[in-house]
Amino acid sequence: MAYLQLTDLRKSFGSTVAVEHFSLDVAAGEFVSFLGPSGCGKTTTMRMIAGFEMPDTGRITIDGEDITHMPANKRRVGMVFQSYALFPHLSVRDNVAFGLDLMRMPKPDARKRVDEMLDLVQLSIQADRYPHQLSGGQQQRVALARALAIQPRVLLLDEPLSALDAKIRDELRNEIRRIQLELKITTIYVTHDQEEALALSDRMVVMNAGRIEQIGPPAEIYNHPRTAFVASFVGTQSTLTGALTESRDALNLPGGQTVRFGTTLTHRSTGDSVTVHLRPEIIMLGEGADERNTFRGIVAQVMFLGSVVRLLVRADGHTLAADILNNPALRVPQIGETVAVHFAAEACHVL
Amino acid sequence: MNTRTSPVSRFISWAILALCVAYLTVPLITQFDYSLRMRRNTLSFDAYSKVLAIPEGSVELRQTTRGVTLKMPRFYSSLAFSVLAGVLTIAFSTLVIVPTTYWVHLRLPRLKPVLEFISVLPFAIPGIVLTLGLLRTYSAPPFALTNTEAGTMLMLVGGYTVFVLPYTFRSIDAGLRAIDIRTLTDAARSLGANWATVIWRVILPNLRVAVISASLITFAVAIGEYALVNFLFPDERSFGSYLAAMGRNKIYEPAALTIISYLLTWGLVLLIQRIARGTSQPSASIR
Repeated sequence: MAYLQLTDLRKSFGSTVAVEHFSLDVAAGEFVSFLGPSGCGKTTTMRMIAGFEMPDTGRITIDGEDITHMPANKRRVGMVFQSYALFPHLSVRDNVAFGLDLMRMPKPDARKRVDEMLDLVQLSIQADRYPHQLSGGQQQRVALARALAIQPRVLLLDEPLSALDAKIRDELRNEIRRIQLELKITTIYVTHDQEEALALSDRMVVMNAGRIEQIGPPAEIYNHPRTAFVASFVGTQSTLTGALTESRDALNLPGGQTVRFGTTLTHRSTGDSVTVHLRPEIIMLGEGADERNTFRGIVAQVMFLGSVVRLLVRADGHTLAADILNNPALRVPQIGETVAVHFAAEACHVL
Repeated sequence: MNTRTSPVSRFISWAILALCVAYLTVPLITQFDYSLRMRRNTLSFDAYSKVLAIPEGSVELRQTTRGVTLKMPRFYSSLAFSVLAGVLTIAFSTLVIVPTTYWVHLRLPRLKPVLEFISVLPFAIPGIVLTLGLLRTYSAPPFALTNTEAGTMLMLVGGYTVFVLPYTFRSIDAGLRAIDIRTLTDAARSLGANWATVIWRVILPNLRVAVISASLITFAVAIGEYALVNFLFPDERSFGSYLAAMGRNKIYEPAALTIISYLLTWGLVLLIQRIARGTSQPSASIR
């Protein structure tokens, strides 16, 4: 049975519907990310789990207990905020001990727990410092320790890495996952950064305009997006739209070119408008066998991304993004150069 | 930007500064000078000794039907009374204004303009009108606060809270704006804090500087106020009444008293600053 269960949640602010028809079952110890653009309702949903917002309709249960209308301070749900939200007047130790003190935990036990938590986030040395004496990354570690100290039933992380530098962000991201796996704590992670969501999650919930677009493991979301929104929001892609051919396994582009894809669309009829989504890593430089799915065009842009080099190729009015793996001996095509690109029919994702 | 100024404009700025300083200090200096001239043809601190004197037998504990009372020379007893009124006002106004302003910031931001309007009313309404209004309303039934000593004190404290509202509200409002109360509140709530705990253990400690500066003004008002306290306690037991009575009856002592109360206020300022610096943590760097 699901540990955290959200059933048909709805929340509106005035005439604006923030979240609608939100249902999700989260297993104990699972790490689930809510991913979506700002205003998609992911934070509102998290705030409903925390008890900071009350849903208009729907139900929230943790381990079978209905907490839909329970005040936030009774839920034992830990939360980490983008702005850290450490208490400025308390030392690191007292910040972490805050929740334990409210639970009336005996002092020696609380002290032991605080030490454990600071050890977990590797901040034992800074225990007697104040928040303003710590770096952003350290402050967020304290916030994490503080949220974990009360042994919450669910841990909520609201864009915890957004305010940090790239390097610290990567470090802390790994740290969060390590701690989560170590403590086996059920975690909800809100982010607008798809890379974070893909890297961390057991499952992702992609949201748009207050509704769930798709729920699934990162690989499934990335490789088999179920809607055009998911395909465009998660990862980079190029699209080709045209009319379905008679054989229903290819489409004719307005320019006359034919694009073959690996499947036969039995449920669509000839002439239907169909869109093929192509990830940049499946588009290769050079011509395909028998010139299938091959486009000739001009390099419009070259982006060096470190491990890959991304080319934007303009061909017959379409722009195709192609990634080539970087290596020191690579000869990168120049802007304005004419190149051919191709892709395998099986790699096409049709929506 | 051109930071160089002509000699003429420099002269004008210095002249304006000098005028302002003179305007503020000359009365103080002359007052001080006058307070030293009690003894003929020589400068002395006689006026001060008279004011501060504790003659033998003037301090005693007395057992009366209403309990134990401490009898002191009037300077000390009136100062003690007004300091007590000040302390009570600080406690009362903090208790009323901090939670109210906090709640409006957090949950009812639309009411901010209303609160701001109310807070400047004591500026717009003359003190004597406020005083008479308070008296007419609360000294008559159903309140009849002036029937008991405690009730009268409550009225005094309530009145002072209104008098200093423009300062206290502004100071606390600015303090609340400087911290991220929404997230701090959420963080505390998720850790198990109820609303009272949030205000007492999270919001108030981070408003320390704001509350202290509000307290300072409250103290200054409580020490010097005359109109309301004289209506409520006609026996002239407050410092304000004592100052007024001195001014009517004596020649050199009022000048000495002015200097003393000036120094008292400064002492208070320094004391409060010391307390603030000693224990507060800078809160600006939270984000």
